Amino acid sequence: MTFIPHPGLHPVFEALAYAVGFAIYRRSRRRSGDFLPEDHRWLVIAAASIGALLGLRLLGLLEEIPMTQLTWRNVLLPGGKTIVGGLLGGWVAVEIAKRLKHIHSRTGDLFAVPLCLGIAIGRIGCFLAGLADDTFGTPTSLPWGVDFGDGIPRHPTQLYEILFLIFLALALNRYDRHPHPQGSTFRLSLAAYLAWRVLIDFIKPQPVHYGLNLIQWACIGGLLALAPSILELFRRQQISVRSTS
Amino acid sequence: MSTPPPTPEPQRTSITLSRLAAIFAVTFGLAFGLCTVSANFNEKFSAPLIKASLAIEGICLVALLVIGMIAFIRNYM
Repeated sequence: MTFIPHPGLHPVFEALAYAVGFAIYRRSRRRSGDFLPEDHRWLVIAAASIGALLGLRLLGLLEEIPMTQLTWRNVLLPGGKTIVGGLLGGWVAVEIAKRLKHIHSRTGDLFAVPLCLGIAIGRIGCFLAGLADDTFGTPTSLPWGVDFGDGIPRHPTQLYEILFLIFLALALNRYDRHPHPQGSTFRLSLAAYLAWRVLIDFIKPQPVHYGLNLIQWACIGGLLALAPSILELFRRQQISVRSTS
Repeated sequence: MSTPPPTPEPQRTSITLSRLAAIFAVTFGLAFGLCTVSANFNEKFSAPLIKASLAIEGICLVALLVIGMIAFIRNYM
């Protein structure tokens, strides 16, 4: 399949991703209610936005370091940004803000499904951008390989990711309807996405360091950081199931 | 007859600050995306687009710093 890239549509889909993500978040907040007061909820959103901004650019810059220097000018000028950096940066910033404001409850569940669908919409822009966006896959002889303009059929990794994210959003939506520990929906969604990225990035032509690319290393770091709290959540869930039965 | 509870003004201010911070952060991200995409166009289009997105990024950065300072002063001074 040959394809004509439209990199100009990337920011359009990015803006659409933010708008749709926020609309879904508001809808699910209205439907399921929110235990957090309004000011704390907005603090979490602000911390997540700023942390995501820092994280996505920082990891993007680290990826470019062999080609470019880490300067203030390069932080603002055209360059890479990564969703994994955004997710990890947002998560860390929210944890810091919660600690500063003495918020002890888990706050991310309402963001899990909106994030999945927002990223899926953003990935349409990545796909349409073609070779201008570093999200395409390695060459393939499979019948659905896409020629992004260089004459080589490649894995449409952006489309694989869209399918994965739709499946994940449906699974999380289903999980959310059953009794579960507070915070587990968000943590499961983040862990699932990071694990997915570790796997899918094996078919992306990115420079590797010790067998993995920088994003895969960041995902493994995120998974290791998440593991204790996920295990703790499931331990609590098992205890509550045993006590009710 | 009971008097209505007073409006919690500081809470409303912190909501406004957080909302503004989120809006400026997202706008910065979008401007950065536009800036990156502009690099793929020819110079006639890319030069003004990069300048415009850099200006938006600068405004957002200054706004975020100001919001951060206001939040710091309100909380710790």
